[in-house]
Amino acid sequence: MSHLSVHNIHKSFGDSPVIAGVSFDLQPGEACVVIGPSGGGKTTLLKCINLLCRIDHGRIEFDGKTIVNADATSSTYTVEMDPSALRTRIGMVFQEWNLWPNKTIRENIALGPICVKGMRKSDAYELAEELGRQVAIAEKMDSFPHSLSGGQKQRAAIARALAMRPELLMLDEVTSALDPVLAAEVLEVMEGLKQQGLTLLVVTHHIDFARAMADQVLFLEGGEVRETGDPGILDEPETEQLAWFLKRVWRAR
Amino acid sequence: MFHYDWDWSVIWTYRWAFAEGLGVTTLLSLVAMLLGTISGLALGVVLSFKTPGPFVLLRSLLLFLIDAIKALPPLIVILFFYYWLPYLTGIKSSFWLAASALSLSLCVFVADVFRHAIAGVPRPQIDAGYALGMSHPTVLKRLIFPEALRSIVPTLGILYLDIFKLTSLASVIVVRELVHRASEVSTYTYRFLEVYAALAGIYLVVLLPFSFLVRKLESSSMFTRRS
Repeated sequence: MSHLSVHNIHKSFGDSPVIAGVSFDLQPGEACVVIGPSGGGKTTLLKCINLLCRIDHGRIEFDGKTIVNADATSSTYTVEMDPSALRTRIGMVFQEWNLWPNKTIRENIALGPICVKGMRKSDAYELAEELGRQVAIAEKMDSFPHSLSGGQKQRAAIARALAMRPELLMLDEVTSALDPVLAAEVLEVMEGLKQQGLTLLVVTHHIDFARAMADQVLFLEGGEVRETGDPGILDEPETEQLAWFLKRVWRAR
Repeated sequence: MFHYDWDWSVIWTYRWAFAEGLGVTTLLSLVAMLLGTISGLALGVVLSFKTPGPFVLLRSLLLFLIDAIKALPPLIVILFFYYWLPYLTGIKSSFWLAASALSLSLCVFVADVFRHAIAGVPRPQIDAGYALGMSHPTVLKRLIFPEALRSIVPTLGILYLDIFKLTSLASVIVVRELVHRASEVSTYTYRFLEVYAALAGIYLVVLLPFSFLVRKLESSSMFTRRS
């Protein structure tokens, strides 16, 4: 049974379509890497999955149950799973980390379990400590986000998402705002998560990273999946668009 | 050539009148700050909800009233309260009439400032809360309100500074605050220059350190922290 399955979803902002019929399946423990040019609908795709964005049409299933079902012709939009409950199971890490600036790293990580799961503060802080060690920011637990490096902030944001013990983690260009050295630190953490068997849906521009850890690659352009397959397609693209995109990415390095 | 025999002894003679006046001024300010802040924050929260339906009308009405009160000089509000509220509510104490008028003047500004602060909490911080599964009330209580409150503290300081000075207007409705007591002393003694110089001195002694504190708050990283 698929862990996540997306059926023909559509989403427009006003008149401009952002996602135009995207479908894919993600098996438990699998890592799916989404690549593609900016404005191709990658971030919106992730936001639609955890219901931060409303789809116009299509169906999304998680763990065999329908999350949301929408039909454009009859303009119906039915959420069949409690959004809060769903979001505790599908974690999301943002491109610009979105840490809360006036809470310490410990508070940032522990707030989710405290507010959503009703965990005791002391237990949540212990959990934060453990996750802080896992992503190598243990010495920064009492600092505020502004005093951390970009890589540390992003790892803190990953720890914050992990604190909810999600079954699936979505990472949205988490290395795009970082220089190569800092990005490498974050990529290492992501590889660790993959080895732990967490199902991952990763939007990235790191082609090497996609090749190393993806089980499935989706190339998204103009709101559509132009090409999909195993990481092999990154070396031998079938479509012109992917070949062109890869050439551009290589040149930028 | 202007000649004047300064006699500062009157200040010492009437020191208790000044002290009592300062006491009333301080009390009046504190009451107005407290009531104005609490009601202003509550009003700000109400105005930050943009739910459709009949509430929209109420919201527009409140916004109009706020603009109207902002447009009125505080002195007019005080006089209006002084002549009207006793009939409407039975409150006769000048002190409480002045306190309510000043609270109202403060309330509308606090409401506006807080409403903008709530709207100004960056969307990504809010999304981060929802993405963890927080409910709407939790996001408001744990993320939006603390962040908005923190950001308005320096502005509140400036508004409080203003309210402390505006209490002098209460002298026209015979609240025995500092200005009222000073004008009494000056009419007994005919020492207008000394009395009003002392009056200005007292305001400066109280408010200059406060201004300094407010400026410190404005630049404090507690209130300007960004991730």
